[in-house]
Amino acid sequence: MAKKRTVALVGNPNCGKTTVFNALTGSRQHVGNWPGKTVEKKEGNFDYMGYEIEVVDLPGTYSLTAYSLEELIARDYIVDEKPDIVVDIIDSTNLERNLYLATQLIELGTAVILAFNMTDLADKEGLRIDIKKISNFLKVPIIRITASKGIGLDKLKDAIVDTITNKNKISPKDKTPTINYGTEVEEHLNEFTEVIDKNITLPKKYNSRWIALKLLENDEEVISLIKTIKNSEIALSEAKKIRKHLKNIFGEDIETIIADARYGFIHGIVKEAVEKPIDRVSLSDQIDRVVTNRILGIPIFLGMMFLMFHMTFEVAAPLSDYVDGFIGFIGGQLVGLLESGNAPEWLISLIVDGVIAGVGSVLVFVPFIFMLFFIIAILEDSGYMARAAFVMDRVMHKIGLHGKSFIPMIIGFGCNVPAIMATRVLESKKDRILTILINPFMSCGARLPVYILFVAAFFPERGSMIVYSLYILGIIVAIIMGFILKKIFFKGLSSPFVMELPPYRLPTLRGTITHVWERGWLFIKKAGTVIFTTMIIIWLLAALPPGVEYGSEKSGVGMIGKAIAPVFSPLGFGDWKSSVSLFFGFVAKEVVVGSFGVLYAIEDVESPVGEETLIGELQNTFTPLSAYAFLVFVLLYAPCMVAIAVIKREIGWKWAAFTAIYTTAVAWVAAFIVYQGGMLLGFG
Amino acid sequence: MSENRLNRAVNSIPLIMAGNGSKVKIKSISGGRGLKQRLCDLGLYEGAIVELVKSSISGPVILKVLDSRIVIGRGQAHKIMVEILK
Repeated sequence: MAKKRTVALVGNPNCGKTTVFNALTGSRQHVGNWPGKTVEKKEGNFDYMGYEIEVVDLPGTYSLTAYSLEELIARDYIVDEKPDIVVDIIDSTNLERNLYLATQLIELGTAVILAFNMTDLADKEGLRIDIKKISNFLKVPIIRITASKGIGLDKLKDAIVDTITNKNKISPKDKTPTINYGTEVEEHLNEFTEVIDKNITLPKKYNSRWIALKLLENDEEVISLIKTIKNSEIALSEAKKIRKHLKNIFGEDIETIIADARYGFIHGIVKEAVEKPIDRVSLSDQIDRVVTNRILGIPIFLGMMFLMFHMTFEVAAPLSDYVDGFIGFIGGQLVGLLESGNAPEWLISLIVDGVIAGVGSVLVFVPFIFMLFFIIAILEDSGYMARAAFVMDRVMHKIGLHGKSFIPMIIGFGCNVPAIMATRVLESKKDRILTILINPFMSCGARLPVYILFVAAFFPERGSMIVYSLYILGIIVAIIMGFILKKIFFKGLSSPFVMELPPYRLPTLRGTITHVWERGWLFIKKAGTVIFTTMIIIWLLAALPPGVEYGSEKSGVGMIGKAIAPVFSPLGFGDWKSSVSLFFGFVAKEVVVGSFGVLYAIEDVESPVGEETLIGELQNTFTPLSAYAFLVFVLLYAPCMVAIAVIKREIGWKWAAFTAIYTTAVAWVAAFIVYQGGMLLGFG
Repeated sequence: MSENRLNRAVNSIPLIMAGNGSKVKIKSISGGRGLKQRLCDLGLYEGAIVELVKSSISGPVILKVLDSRIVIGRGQAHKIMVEILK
């Protein structure tokens, strides 16, 4: 049996950690949950030299002091769970910043290996890094890797096994601490360490010098940890005394002195061990001068968004036709098979009217959604997303949020589920809740099928105008509601906005595809499970009670539709079929299209004949005005069940229920204004 | 020590008043512990030398800190007092 060991991957955001994780574990990955938390935990494993190495991919963090939910996970895992080895991924082009976390890990006393990643980029920039020198200073092994090209990974694995078997030449035999904080501080630190050793019994996993240092730094997490231990008051009062004493001597807070010493230490190492070419005016800065320009910034951003949707429609539309042809082919084969096998008529109806008409009409839109995710991934991986956050900060400020909250909103154009999860990078709980509450108004990819169908039926001339107007309406409503919700629930100061602008990088195809696949897979899974089940339920309700004409007013769906239709009549679409589709659209918004397909028993919504029949049916039911009101309602009303479930998981069922109700109310009012206003203006 | 404090007050100006492209030394950061710690983790602490890359009449500012670009909100930038080095 292979011996099992755990390796945790940590690193600053944008250090290429996920690439390393993928390169190490390949396809042997799974997603679990952190014990006691609802955030998923990415794990994978590989076998090497008789060991089974379990790799845990931790969220990116700048230090072991946590601010956001993600950082807290990384910190807790390293400090409390104690993996056997921590591999800190370092962006070689940005050593001084990245080594800060490394020094904290070393001081904590965990077994650390530093992986200097992106060495190809560092070489290109002309940086000459003396790895051996740095390794001697820090007393930890350092491996050069370029994870994106798979270079150096075997050496990294060797180093991991060497550390396990304690064969590393530079194992910290000498106990002298890595960072020296200067005579005055060191004296007190040593005394204090002794006081701690003498008076309190620390759990074995913590080293007393680190605890002493953290208490002097007034680290809240460590203070609350110590408070649970007997005699803690001795240590805490001693810490207070030393803090006061040192402040008197230096005239500065001890945190400042410690930070100064740490950064000074790192700066010294980098100066000694790294040769830099003389100041380069980087391309990144030149691009930033244009992209973050006060006047040009927002137009450039809007242009990017326009390009994103334009490309989605242009590139994905033909792809969508292929998918459609494929589904039609499969459907035809299946029906042929069933008929030749003398299958009962109800089964053929279930397959044709229920599954193919329902799920098929949803899958046709997979290319659109993948294309959106593809472009969003490029925006993220290239570094532009952080600039968009910068540019939009001024606008977001008006609703009491800051630029960082804008990133989840853009991701919401793809799908609200990953967007809601992306709010975990926000430091303030209030910001997080507010960002989640307005996210459903960002028009996700699943709403697109509905727009496209209706545009084809009612606005063939001005199609893209109508679709863009809906996207923009979504943003405007999000901002207005953000403003109102802020006034009601989240009065007070806004949280600080602090963010790194990562250098621009050419996204790698592999990285982008991984990104797209992770998010897109959620969508396909949804089509395969939730949507599939809903379609069968709708089919059943349309076919029951027995003997009823399929999909007629007397069937189950007919009764449901007629019961709720009065709610929608003031909005211009009080017929029972659209009521039913909205009712089931709560499961997933694509279902709106799917259920039209089922209700009109059209085999293939996207086939020329099928589409024309459906369009004909719609034209008999809606006027252009009521169609637009319907689209406004689809855009704004309760997000799909999956999104609601994620909101519940992230911020609790009360907010989830609130979101479902208030968005539907907003949708009703907006559709009412559109329809009744339109009637008054004579568009009816 | 008191002289030290006085010096600080005399020489320092708010970060956003420093011109674009100027190199500055951070003299003091007022604000809660959380903010100070957060800024410190990104390389902005009292004594750090940073460059003001971009500050407009409104909106957040961009700093060059430890070879990377850091954006901080205008409100936070107001709380950082600096001394211009060149």
